Amino acid sequence: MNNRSLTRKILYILLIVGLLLPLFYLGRPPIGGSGKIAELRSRYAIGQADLGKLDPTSESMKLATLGMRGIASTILWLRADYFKEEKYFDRFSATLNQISLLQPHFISVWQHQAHNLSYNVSPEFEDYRQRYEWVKKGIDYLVKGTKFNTRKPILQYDLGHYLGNKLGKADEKLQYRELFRNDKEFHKYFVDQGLNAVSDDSLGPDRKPDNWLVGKQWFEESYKLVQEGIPIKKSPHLLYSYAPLWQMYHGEAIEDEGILDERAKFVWEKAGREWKEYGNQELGGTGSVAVTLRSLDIAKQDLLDLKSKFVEMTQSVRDIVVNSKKTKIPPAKLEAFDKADEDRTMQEKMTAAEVAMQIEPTYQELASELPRDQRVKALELAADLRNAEEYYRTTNSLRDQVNYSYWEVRALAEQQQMMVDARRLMYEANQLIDVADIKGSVEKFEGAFVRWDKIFRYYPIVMTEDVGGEVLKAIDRYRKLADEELDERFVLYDFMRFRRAYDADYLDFNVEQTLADWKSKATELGSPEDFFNTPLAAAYRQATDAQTPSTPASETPSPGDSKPPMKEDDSPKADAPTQDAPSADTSSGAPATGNRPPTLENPGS
Amino acid sequence: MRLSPEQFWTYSEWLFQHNGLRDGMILALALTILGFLVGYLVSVVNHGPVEGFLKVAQNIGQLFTVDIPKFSFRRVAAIAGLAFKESIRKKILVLIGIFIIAMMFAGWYLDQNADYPARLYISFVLTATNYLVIVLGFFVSCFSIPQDIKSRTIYTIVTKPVRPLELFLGRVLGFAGIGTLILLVMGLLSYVFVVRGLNHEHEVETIDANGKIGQTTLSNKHTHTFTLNEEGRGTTNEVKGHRHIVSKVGDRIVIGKKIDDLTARVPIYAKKLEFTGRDGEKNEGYNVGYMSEYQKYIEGDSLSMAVWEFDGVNKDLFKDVISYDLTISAFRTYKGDIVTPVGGIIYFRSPDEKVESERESFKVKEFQVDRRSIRTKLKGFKEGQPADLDFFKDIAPDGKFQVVIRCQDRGQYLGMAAADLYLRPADLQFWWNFVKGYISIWLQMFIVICFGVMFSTFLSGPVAMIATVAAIVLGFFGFFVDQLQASTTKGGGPIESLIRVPSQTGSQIELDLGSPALEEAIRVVDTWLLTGVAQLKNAVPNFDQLGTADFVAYGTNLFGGLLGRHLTIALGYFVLTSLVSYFFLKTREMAA
Repeated sequence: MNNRSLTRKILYILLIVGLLLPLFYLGRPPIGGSGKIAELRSRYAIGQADLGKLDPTSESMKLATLGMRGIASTILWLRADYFKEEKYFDRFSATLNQISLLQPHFISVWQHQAHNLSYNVSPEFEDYRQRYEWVKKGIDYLVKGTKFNTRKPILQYDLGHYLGNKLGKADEKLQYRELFRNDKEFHKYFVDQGLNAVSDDSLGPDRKPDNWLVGKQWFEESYKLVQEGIPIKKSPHLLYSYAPLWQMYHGEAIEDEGILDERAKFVWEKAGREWKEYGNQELGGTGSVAVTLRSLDIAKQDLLDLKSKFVEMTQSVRDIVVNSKKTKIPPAKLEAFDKADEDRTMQEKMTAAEVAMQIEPTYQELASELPRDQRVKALELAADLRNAEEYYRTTNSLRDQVNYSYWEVRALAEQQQMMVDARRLMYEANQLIDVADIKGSVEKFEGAFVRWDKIFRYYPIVMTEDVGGEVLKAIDRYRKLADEELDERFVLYDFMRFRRAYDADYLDFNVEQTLADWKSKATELGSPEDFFNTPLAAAYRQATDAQTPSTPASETPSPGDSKPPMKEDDSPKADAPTQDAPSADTSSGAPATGNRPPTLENPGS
Repeated sequence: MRLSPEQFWTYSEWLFQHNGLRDGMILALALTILGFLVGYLVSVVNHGPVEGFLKVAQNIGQLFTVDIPKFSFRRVAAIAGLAFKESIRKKILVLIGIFIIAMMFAGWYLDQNADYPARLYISFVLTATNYLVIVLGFFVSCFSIPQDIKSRTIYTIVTKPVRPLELFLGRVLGFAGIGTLILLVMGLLSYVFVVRGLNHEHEVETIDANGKIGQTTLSNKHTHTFTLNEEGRGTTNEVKGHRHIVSKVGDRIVIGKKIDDLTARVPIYAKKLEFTGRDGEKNEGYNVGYMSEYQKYIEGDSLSMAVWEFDGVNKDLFKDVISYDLTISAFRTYKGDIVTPVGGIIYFRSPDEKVESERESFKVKEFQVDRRSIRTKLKGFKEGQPADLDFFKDIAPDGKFQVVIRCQDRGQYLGMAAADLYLRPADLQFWWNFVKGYISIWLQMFIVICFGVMFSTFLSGPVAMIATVAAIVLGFFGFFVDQLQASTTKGGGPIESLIRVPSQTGSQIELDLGSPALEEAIRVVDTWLLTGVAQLKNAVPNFDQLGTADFVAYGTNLFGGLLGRHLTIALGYFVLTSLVSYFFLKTREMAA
């Protein structure tokens, strides 16, 4: 009996040892080529120390669950959901901390729950100061996440968004930004966590940290990690656009808050520079070739050159290939194709278009048809042409996705004194509404509109996004104040039509074409220095330098005049800046024809 | 804090008006019949139908003729003493050490940035204590008798004239005694932990030129602002759930001790909350789309209103001022004025609506306690005419009155539940509320011990422990079974879950096994199983409802009525487990 028991025990021990041996072999330190698990851990940098901070709190909590971490975290998630549903937000927040201690390297926890705190819980509070505190809790949560996960740039990327978007774009942005600027403890917290939120790069015009600039710094932190080779699931062209964009949003925000002087221009100048750098940066496109967004014009020229070379080379065989392809088209379809366009029925027009596509030779077909001595060169050229097309298409598409042209032009426009003044007058007009100075407000608006007219003429693309929207809102406000319908004589009438069509997508108004026409006209206006330093601008400056609030701009109608600022006439005047020169006596009476503000070209008229 | 109206019934209301007594009697009767039937069936298997019946009758008879009349408290005390000593020998006091370690490291897990740190601290200590003593309860209770039987030391007891009931009671009281001792130590440590953990001091950081408005220094991750009155007294604003008393002593401004966070408000709740809709019609209040239906909403700038009906309010509790608290919330359908909170009006009126106070405007203080008051001598209207009123003569001569709240802002909503407006005649000492919280925990521990000892009378130690754990889990998570039965929680019953887990089919996806008949069969079996579990759940105590940590944490006096109900429930389970244990011990004795 005892022998059997002893034998059994020995057998068990041997089995245990037998099982432990491979474990030991696989798990030992990577010395002498063995230690497979350690080697894999090291190769993929997934050891605890590689992932991020080793936190005794987290480790002891994981140990305390005795291997039931999954169950514990599931229960905590359920509890967190319950607490949120029943609005036990304190406990909700405390539970989230516990979840993150249990699953510190589960990135979705940090992302999801930080979003919950900043975006879902904060709006539940009636007092905007409490809302701000909960937005901060979400940010704090993400910051903690970065400590546990030093190789996950997505967290820094999210922080950039939270600091910027949540604090700077919410309805309470004025309040949030103000609270953030004065939140010294929060700034100190960032500094403690390794982000210098009180460096010059983070300070706004009042020398206090600005949420957009601190957000920008977080993006730059994520860029550093990505440039070290740590992957992030974001397209490079989008990822790298945020830092310069945040600089622009910073400019926009300080202007909204009334910083409308050289400081704003400086911010935009910096933004323009950074946007340019971003445009020169090599970004991964859809193919293997890196794309730089600012190379579009060069890419276009390259494409055109190659195309003309190829056309020249293959001109002689083009008809042969086309005719050969035509033989494969059914006669009925060919008949429709051969007809003059005006003689085709609708069905025939569709057929003709289809045939045109079918008989259009490919580069390959054309090159193959050439004599043997030219064929190789043509095939090489065809390959280059395809690559150039692909490059151009990709560059264009990426530029569209980040709205590159708009921001490029916007940064330039915002540096113009004329635009700063237009914004300032609009800002002052809104301030005057708050103190019920209707007359003063109307005057300020009118002063602003003539300047916007000029801005829009030179930089038509600025009409498309936020700026156009703000001006349209200002016009609506102005219309209510002046209590008058605005007709085609109004200086921004064409802009109004355009913008309404742009917003509502009117079928009878070709927005794209109109914008293209205006852009084309803008290219004829000469350099910005010449255009904005016209006698109009000079006269305007004199007027503003003299600081006569009741007549903010000499080219605007007089205070007593209820008429809105008028166009000179309805005929297009794309390049007549000298006509805009105000006469000396405009401040005392109705606007004379000669000093009315310039009209915005209406391509349709 | 979520309080449902049944939580603030008085003891007599619960017992008589809301059928606590009747339901208890029915349950007792049902269990008696069930117990008799099960006992009889077991006896029939062992002894045949006639003799089996006689055996059962004999056992029942002996209970009333021998075991109860000859019951000896001295023997119970002796057994309890032994159980107490046995527990100490088993080093159960180590639990206190574990608790101290938990306290030492609690700071790691408690959110220093919490808006209401007091709630977190108190919740933590009460929850930690609760879980630890429940663990203690089932560990000490489940193994004792089986261990005695295994080591045959039980014979040294049963050969003495010790009655089964005495054996059970002795064990339960002994284990409860050691539990009480541990709980006392834990309570004391917890109290010190909470008070010391929250204690902090501020100094004056800045003060304006007039010496009236200032700001405190940073301490415990917060600062306060304060305003002093002409006499140089005032309080700070409320931050992190507390204020500080501020006073001017000579030329110096002293930021004094904190108030409001460790308190025990004694609320008087309304008997009823009713709503009217936007056209003045009666309704149940609007649902603004939240999952939780705890609060209902009234619409702004309409006839919609919330009316609390108070009854039997004792005027002696209030002298010149009637203090009341508001904890209502707001729901905006549009952002509107971001800086200014949604506003409402509040007024008090007689039940016949002929006399009412002046309407007072207020702005919502969401997720905070808005402390308000009205004077007992106040201005108002009698049948529409302005008049000087005496609250307890004109509005509430017999202690009955109504409080009306309306929302002022068009398109916005105010949300409230019955417990979101209450009169606050006084505050009790926090420590006493803390003690009551511990009494609640003691009751839970006591019930667990009763169950543990009961199971150990007929099951082996490990099995008794599993049975007790099952009872505890059902007691804590019974609501989940209800949700599964009502399909408010998706995922199906046990069999369906067994299929879903390995096949990684999420709970929101319909189960598709390719055979509707098989799916239906699984559903049917699951329904039976869930019904069975639900019945079991109804037989075990609802630990979730017995928990009263929220009352202490949120600074609300734990009502005597509620504690009385919990005591009654614990007593009920004590009697039930005593009887079950008695019969099982009798059966074992017979077998021996």
